[in-house]
Amino acid sequence: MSDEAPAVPPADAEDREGGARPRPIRGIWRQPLAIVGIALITTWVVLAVLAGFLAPYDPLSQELPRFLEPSAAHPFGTDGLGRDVLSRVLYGARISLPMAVLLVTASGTIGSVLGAVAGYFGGWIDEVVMRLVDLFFAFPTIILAMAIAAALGPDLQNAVLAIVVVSWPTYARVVRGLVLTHRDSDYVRATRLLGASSRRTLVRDVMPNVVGPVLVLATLELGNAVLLLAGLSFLGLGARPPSPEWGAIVSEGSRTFDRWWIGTFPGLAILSVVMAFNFLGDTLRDALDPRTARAIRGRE
Amino acid sequence: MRFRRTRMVAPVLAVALLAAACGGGDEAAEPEAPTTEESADDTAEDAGPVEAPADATLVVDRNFDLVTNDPHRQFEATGTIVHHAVYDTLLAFPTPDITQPQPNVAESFTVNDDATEFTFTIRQGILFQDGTPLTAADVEYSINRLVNLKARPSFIVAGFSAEATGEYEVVVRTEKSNPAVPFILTNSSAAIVNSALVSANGGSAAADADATDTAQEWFDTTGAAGSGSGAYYVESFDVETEVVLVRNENYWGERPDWPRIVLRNALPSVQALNVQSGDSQLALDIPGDNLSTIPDTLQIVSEPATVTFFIFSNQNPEISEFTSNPDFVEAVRYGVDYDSIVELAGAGVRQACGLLPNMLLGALPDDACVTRDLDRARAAFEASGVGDTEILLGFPSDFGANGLTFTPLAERVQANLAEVGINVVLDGKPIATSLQEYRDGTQPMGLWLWNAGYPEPSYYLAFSPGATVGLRAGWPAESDPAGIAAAGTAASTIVDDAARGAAYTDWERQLQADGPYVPLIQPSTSLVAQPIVTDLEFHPTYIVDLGRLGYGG
Repeated sequence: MSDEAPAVPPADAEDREGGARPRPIRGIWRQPLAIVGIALITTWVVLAVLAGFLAPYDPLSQELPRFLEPSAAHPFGTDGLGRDVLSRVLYGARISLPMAVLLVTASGTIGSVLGAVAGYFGGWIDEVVMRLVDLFFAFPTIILAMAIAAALGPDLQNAVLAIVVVSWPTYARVVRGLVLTHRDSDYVRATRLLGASSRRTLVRDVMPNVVGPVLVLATLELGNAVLLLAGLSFLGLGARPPSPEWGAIVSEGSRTFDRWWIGTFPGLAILSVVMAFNFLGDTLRDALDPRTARAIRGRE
Repeated sequence: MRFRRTRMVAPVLAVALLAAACGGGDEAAEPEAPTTEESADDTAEDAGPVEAPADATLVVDRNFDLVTNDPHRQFEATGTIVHHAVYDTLLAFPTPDITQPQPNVAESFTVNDDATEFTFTIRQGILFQDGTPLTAADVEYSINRLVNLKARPSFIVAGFSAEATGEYEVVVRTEKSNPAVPFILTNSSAAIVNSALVSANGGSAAADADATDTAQEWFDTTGAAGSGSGAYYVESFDVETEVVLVRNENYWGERPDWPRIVLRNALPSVQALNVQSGDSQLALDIPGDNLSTIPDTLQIVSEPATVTFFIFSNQNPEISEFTSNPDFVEAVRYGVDYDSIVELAGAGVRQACGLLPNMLLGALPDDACVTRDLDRARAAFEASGVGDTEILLGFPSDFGANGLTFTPLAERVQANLAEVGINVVLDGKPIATSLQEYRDGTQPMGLWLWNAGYPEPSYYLAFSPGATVGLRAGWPAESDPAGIAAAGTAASTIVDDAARGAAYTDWERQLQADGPYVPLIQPSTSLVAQPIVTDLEFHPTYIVDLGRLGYGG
């Protein structure tokens, strides 16, 4: 399974195959999905940074009447403990966004390094790393993350750690495939014949061909990371109360179906962020990885 | 406190009132169909019983905590609902008044002076569902089986033995003086079973029953029809999905109205939707918070339950040098805003003035309730020297009771204590983990509940130093200079009810003064029903007495 062809071909594959050149990354500004994605993400980043100024109430204060319906004073209503839902959703962005970036960076780095080493050196290193990857792929992601988070104890940091543990194999597999493709290329052989070290070859010759697909993958994974984190918090395995993490607020809302506003607004926040990252990821893929994009369009 | 709302449109009220009359019974005249609410009021007194059609089924939603259909092995609330309908007990509480057990299978009993020997005279003419007469031999077998199985509920009859001294006379003996025996024998785990039938299916009441009794599988897989003499028998039993009960035509008491009852497992949030849509006729776990959204066409009955939510501060310095500080305990006791917690918990909830629920003998009076005193709490906290240290509050994050979940309660306690300056960190975990920590006595602070297994104060002696909950709170017997445990034990042996109640009140005042516990609330249980269900009543021991629910179709 681990020896299959790389899922994502190198960025310059189109050139070598005589296909269309990848559209320059600056072209993404002309794509509506990209604009929507970037606008949404920018909005959420601004809201997260300015939450302290924009939130009308302390997100933890329980001073308000309980279960107030959305109104001018409380656009998102109040929850069962008398907290302003809008303030909690705004402060929740300060948890979900940085944590998603952190865990994608961590899992991307770990996975990419291991995948590159496995692909470049091959042999027993490749066998060990890829069998480990197979092992992780054998479990459904959310179930494995739940098991790890439950074993470590319910806590946001532990949830992030659990998601990193289950996310890195994806990067490892993709990067390994890409490195395998380039490892035996003429230009890499030439560099090595000129006496370049393995590290230099990997960093200077192979990495530029790997960065694009990994960036696409990481952007798409940001949406997954937000979902996974919210999912673990929803199940009580992520953020500790009274933290205004979005998944935790949705969980609270799910216990009171008839007070629709408690779960709906943080749910919409999750939806918008995940959609935005997916839009951006798709656009980046079109720009940096046109072959895959064309294959997908062909299937459609 | 009682909170009942039965506003309905006129025709529905008419139906309900007509049906209400059928509880009374036999002298009824032919019902008339009133056309207005007023005429319904006028005619209800004269209306006769509405006979339920043979295919009428009552669907009851309940958040299941079922474990087994073996009455001598079950000790869960859902099991109590089922088994109270299926089996009889020697004594019982036929109405929600739980101050004094009433005759049931036993039509009378006598007790010796030191409350170690109880002689019960068994009612004649009772038949099990399969037609077998119920005799003293069945009572002897049942009580001894409960004792010797050493199952979950067996601790309530520890040291008991039963002996049939005649065809309709049984003597129950206890190793120690125990005036609570009549109360204990109302528990549905003390069910009287058909000894011949249960024995034939692997049951045993012998001293080695814990090793030799194999009847549980028979109870669980077949429903064990014929093993009980209650208003219903079990047609099918599934711990995960539903229990189907069918009317026992051999029942010796008043014939139940509903021919068939399906008790169905449903989440509390789903129960509200089901009962409103008519998918179920009765919901047992709708949270107090949701009651305001229930339409007026449905009936709501909310009553305080025999449950106490409480906080403890661990007294074991090895667990926490801070929570074991008496000043810290005082800071918590006076720092909690009890009114805000009662408000959070919803309709029908009351502050728990002590650990004993208010309807139990010896419960502290309302004027003994602690009220918040922030200045006193802050002064005590200052004296404790705890400072900014994080104090973990353990609780089950995925568990609840009486429509309440622990997490919002913990969040409210955290906010209350933050005003004192106490830095509480919520340490909610899945119940499997959290319960183990609680039992191991490793939680610095804990938020838990205690449910009366039987409505007598002796069940709460577990809170004494060195007893079950005392040890969980790091309070061993040797840390009891005031002799609280001895005072509790002494109270439990007093035969006279008034004197025993007063002794328990003193015991609880000592607990309040020197113990690590902070009782918070006594929650309510809310029953929500369609108008077709009449005679709806919450029962503090059985939650709902299925055999007494009326049909108002």
